[in-house]
Amino acid sequence: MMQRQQYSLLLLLTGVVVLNLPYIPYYNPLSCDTEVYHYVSLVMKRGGIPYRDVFDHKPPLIYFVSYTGLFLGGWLQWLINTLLAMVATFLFFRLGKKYRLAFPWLLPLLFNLMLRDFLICGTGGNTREYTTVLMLIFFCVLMGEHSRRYYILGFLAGLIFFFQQDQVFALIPFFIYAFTRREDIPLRYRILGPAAGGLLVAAPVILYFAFHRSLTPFWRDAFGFNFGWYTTAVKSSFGDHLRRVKQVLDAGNYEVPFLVAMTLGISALVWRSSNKRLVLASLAAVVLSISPEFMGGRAQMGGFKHYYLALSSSLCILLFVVFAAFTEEPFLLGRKVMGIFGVLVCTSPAYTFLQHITHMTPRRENIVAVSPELDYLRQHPPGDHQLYEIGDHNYLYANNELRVLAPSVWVYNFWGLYKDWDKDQAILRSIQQELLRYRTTYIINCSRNAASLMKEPVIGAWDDFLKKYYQQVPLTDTTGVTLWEWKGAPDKR
Amino acid sequence: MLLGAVVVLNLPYIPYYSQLSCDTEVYRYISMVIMKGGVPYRDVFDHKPPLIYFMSITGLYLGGWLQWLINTLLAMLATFLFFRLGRKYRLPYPWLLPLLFNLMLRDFLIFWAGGNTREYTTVLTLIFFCVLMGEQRWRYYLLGFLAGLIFFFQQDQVLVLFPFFLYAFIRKKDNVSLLHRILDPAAGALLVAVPVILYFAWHRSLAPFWRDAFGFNFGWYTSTFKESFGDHLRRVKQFLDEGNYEVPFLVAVTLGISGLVFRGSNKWLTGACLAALALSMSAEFMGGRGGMGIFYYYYLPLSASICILLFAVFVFTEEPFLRERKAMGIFGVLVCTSISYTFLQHITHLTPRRENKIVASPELRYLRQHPPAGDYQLYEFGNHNYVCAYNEFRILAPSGWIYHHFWHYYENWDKDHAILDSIEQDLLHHRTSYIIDAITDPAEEFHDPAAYAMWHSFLLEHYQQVPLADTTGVTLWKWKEQ
Repeated sequence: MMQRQQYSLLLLLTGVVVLNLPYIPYYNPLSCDTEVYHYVSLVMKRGGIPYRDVFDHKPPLIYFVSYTGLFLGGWLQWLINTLLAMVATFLFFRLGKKYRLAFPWLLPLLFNLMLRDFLICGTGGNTREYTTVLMLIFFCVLMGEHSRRYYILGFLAGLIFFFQQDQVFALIPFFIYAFTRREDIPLRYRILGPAAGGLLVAAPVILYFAFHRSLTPFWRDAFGFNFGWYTTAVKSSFGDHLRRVKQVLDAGNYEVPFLVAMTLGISALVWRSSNKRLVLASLAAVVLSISPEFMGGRAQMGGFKHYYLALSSSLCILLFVVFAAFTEEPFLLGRKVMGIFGVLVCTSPAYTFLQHITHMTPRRENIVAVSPELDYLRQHPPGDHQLYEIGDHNYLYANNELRVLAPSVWVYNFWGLYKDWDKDQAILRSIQQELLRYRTTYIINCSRNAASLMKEPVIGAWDDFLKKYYQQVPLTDTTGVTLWEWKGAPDKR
Repeated sequence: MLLGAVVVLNLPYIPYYSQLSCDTEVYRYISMVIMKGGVPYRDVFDHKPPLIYFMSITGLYLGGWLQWLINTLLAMLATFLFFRLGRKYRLPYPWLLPLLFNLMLRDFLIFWAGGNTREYTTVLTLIFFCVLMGEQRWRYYLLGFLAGLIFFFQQDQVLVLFPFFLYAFIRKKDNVSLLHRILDPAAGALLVAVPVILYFAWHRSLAPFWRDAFGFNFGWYTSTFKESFGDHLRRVKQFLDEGNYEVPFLVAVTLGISGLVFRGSNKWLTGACLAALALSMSAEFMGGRGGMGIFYYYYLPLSASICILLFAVFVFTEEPFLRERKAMGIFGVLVCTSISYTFLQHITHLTPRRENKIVASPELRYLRQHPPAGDYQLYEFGNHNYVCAYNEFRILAPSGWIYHHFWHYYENWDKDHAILDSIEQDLLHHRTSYIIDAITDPAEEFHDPAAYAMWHSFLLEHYQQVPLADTTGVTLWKWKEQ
């Protein structure tokens, strides 16, 4: 029996590696978000500080993890991502064994299938990949008996917060559960332990920015921006959000796991169960794990399927709670019933995986990598501050590949998303001034391509500037993107 | 309650809200041809079997309400029989599967509009199953009769019945001899086939009947395009997803296969139901649907085959956990949730038919003010949604070719331009007053540029464009001599 379970674990961990293979550096699909993270890491490597020297509005930990992507051709980060998933998988499997689940490998497998569901995650190295894995580890610690578990919970919550703030909401029901359950640890330790754990993450982060005199930009971009523009500038109706939830669940092949987990979760709440508080907490965590959908007008802004990645842990946790020893419904306790539900929840994500691995294209064939602009730049490589892209931050790929810094901190913008963004065009002017200051040699102009984040009147003002100081490099086979070269002598600095 | 729900689920398809569907417009037009003394296939081209045209005659009365009523009553009959069957076999919730059937049948994302061939074959398939599982004395005649109806509504749907016929022939618990089990269905089917054949023989139209309703389907329709098996599978997944059939499909197939593997008292029937489910999607695998655009309603028969499979699983399982009321309740919630969501979205976003962009198009508005003088005085070319114009004005088209997408679908279609030439000859012969030219992208809509050039030069030679505002690429043309 023991040996069989060890084989199961070995197979399961192999499964984790296999499911991670489509995201090795050779295949990892292009994503504007991860390009930004890698670019910010590059800025840090050159001595810069996030927020002060480059704009982005994510919490800082993602840049530190993405730093590893600069080494071994990206393999180091892939290895870290895979190992993190393996740790979560191992802990979840062990928990399943502890609670005598019929198939302790089933839910960890589902977790990995959903985590690596290409239609949702899109690429490897997103903030929500890390928070999702950390959330599952958090749950395993919560259900475990480690003597320092409350410190660890706080530490994990801190990590999640500084990877992606909104994902910390999904932990609140579990904290409430932890504070209210009957346990031999006094309540004050249950509260102070997590606080101390959280400080273990927060203190170094705050000290880092304080040491670099960057606490203000840190607060402004990583927090102020998110509480302001990001969550309030675009609004969708509640109905639109619900329709979008349905649409993304459908399009991402999360629908069946979601429906099965929610139906069983609500049933467990209604029917006989020995731990309804935990069932309730898990249900609330599922709902809260998609809370980013309801923050601002995601429905109108398109994309953002990776906002649902957190469901891969919250749904598995809910199913665990239903099938673990807590249900007292005889028909839910059998191996066969768990087998049937297992097939149901795994089929669609497994189908997605099969489709994905049979239709992969190497990363070097992505739309930016094969663009005539990048081809030209490879033949005429620019130095730091000598290349700037505007309008489509997928083209940050060029800065990352050529390992050159942009002349402006504004490596992407929100003119297309927010009506009132940069109304006085101060940001646009600051970009133009930086370009003039550095006499930046090349500009990749995406202001008019399909994915452009710019719109009138900014495009008009930008075009005027471009025509005044730059001339277009004649390239064939372009797709609405143009490459421009400084009109004067190339900067020799 | 259940029958009330059937009516409620049908309400979005009342004539006021029924969506424009090019297929049902064609059926209705052919019904009008019949009522004006014409004969399908001989006087107007279509490649469906004939029963749909006779059924669509009812759509010509009471502003379409009569056909809606018949469709609703047919669904109610199937629902009642299925519910009675559930009670007979002591299902915990005998209303659950009939409800699922109706939710799936009226799933707007798959069903689209009332009066399609597959709506009737799907309802008839469920009635067929109820008869098969019943103890009616004439059940084998009835099975044949229903199979005949299905065949003459939509041939490919008869494939779904094969596993059930096989099951009926080999099952042991039946007091009817094997000879009768084979001969009675044959006799029943003849009850449908004979009048149909006699009708066409009487009108000396057997040759066009065979050519269009059968020859065309076995030839052009199923063999011209080919896609890989993988492409078909991806398309199945895509449609199940987009039509919100995914969960019922997955639950039914998983439970069906479990029903075969786990303990069960009637594995033959479970096997037959699984095969029927696979065959109910056979239309997908006949030719290259993926290359031909949107055919969601090809999946409508799943609404019967999935419910039948679930019925077989829940009735004949000997697994204690599947016999629990709670288990059936959970699976019931699972299979109904997505489809109920579709229904709720649909009823809260209904638009009246009169607001359809074709019904409200500038061309049709103009024609309402200047109605064509009568039969043969209007012709639409390129988008058979505009067949609704003939139906609205109750006039016949000058040509039997009332739709033209084969020039787009099939590379070798009308290579010698004989059909196009016949259309032009008919237009000249009748001096047709108006032509709606709905070709908006000739390069896309005509494989053969010479064919479009021929059509366009004909139009310029004999017609002049009516100046209309707010058109969407569609143009209205008027006979020059008028």
